[in-house]
Amino acid sequence: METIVRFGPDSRLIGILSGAGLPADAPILVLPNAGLVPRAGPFRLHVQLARRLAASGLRTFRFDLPGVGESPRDPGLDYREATLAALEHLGANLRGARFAVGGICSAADLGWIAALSDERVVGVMMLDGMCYAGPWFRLACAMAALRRGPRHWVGLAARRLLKRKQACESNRPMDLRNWPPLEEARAQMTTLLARGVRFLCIYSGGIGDYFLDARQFGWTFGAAARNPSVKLHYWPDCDHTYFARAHRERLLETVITWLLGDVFPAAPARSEHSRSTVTVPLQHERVA
Amino acid sequence: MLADIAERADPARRLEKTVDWEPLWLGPPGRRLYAAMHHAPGRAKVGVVVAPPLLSEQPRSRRLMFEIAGVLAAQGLPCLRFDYYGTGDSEGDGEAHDLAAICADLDVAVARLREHAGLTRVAVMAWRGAALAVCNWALRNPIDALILCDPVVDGAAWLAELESADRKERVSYERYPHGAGAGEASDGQLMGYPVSAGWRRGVSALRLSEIAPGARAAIWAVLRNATGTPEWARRMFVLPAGTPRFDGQTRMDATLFLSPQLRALIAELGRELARLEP
Repeated sequence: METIVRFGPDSRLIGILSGAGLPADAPILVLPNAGLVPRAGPFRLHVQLARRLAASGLRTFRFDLPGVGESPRDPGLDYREATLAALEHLGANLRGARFAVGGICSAADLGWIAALSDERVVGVMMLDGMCYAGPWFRLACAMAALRRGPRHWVGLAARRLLKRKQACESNRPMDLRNWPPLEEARAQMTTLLARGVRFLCIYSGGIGDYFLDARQFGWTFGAAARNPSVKLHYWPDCDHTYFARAHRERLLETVITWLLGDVFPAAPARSEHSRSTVTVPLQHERVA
Repeated sequence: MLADIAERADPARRLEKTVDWEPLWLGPPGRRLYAAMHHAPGRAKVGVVVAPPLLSEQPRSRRLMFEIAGVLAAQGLPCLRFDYYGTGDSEGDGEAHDLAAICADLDVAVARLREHAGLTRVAVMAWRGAALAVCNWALRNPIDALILCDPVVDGAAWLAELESADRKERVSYERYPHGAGAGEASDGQLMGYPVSAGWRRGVSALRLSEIAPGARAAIWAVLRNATGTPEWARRMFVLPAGTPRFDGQTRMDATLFLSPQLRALIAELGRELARLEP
């Protein structure tokens, strides 16, 4: 059973909380929008995740950020503040709850930011999240260009002559997504790991504009990338939004395994909490 | 960022914040639909149920439907939006989303709006593929008006278009630059969403020109590039030039927003609906 939750200034932001019968302190996976995709997620990924996690004793909270889906554009909060407002609201109503935050693309970035801002966040799910290009990316680009052959080289040279390169570089995700400078990102990850935060970092094949080689991750985050609290996957066969059913299934299994095994290993199994159900306040629910 | 650009192009969007709406569940546990009621200021006589497009067009247009409902409510028409069973935030799996399920969804949504205090007339505004499904529903269910917006007129032809787009998407270089692809169409998906054999059979059997005359409703058509009112429609309106297409896109940033021109048309429809005779 899922519950409608209103939060933020004047309760103008809306999300869906799963796991109505779970204990109040059951962990919560918080899922902001993936880009402009409504909160149900790309191809309903967030809904499927919520249902499977609820069966394993974890709650999920998916919500629309300001201006996305059915949230107002100007609730007085930016994306970061809206995400923190969601954590605040959930934390106030479900005392003792701990969070994992993240998702695809911009949602991954919000997971990172939320972890830096709120110590109740113990897991960050970065699906096509932050990673810098660096030498491995440039090498992969060069190798790809070599494989494409002379016709591609001519085209590339022509584009450079037309100065399109500058335009491309101004659209790089590191510029558009407000990632911190590289050194700062490394320091932030080190800080979060020292606090015990767990990371799931999955890079798909759909982000060829900044990720083409798994070694980029180590180059970006240094020693922190090798920390056992960081799980890294590079799935070049998958696209950015997991269009294929088989790819979504792989993602769902990986996320659930990570949450139950790494982040919340003590989460109550469904059968356990069903014996001692604690009723959780279901605020703002309307049933017709 | 795109949302901000859209707002700069259409400052009237800011006005929608004054219109109140509330999310709610419709139907019994196990078959609950996520819905939203946009309340209208003053005492209304006419209400509107908004039936969103189907499959991949539904999430793309969620923001658009939200904005349209806000415009209609601001015109004094209470407006109910909902996600079909097995789609969006509603309960159920995608495989359960077929014509029979949509009919049951419409039963619940229309009944809920009819409970709204003071309403004497209810219209259904159906977009794209939903036009076929709603017309099919109206063969057995009287309703005061159907507003069919950018309707799919031939279910079989539309299904063929969807299957063609799906085949292209599965091997799209843009989506799969490393060449793996999404695999066989036999995984039961269409444009990324599970689609049952029943959905395919039901939709492909429907042609608007055949079912619309039997619908127990006054039909208004809102068409692209129309030259004349179709035989099956009592009234016709024309979508503004430049209204973005709903079909053929599954990119995550391909969200549809309400343009100032479309907003004006929706407001005009709202004014006309407010004068709807019983």
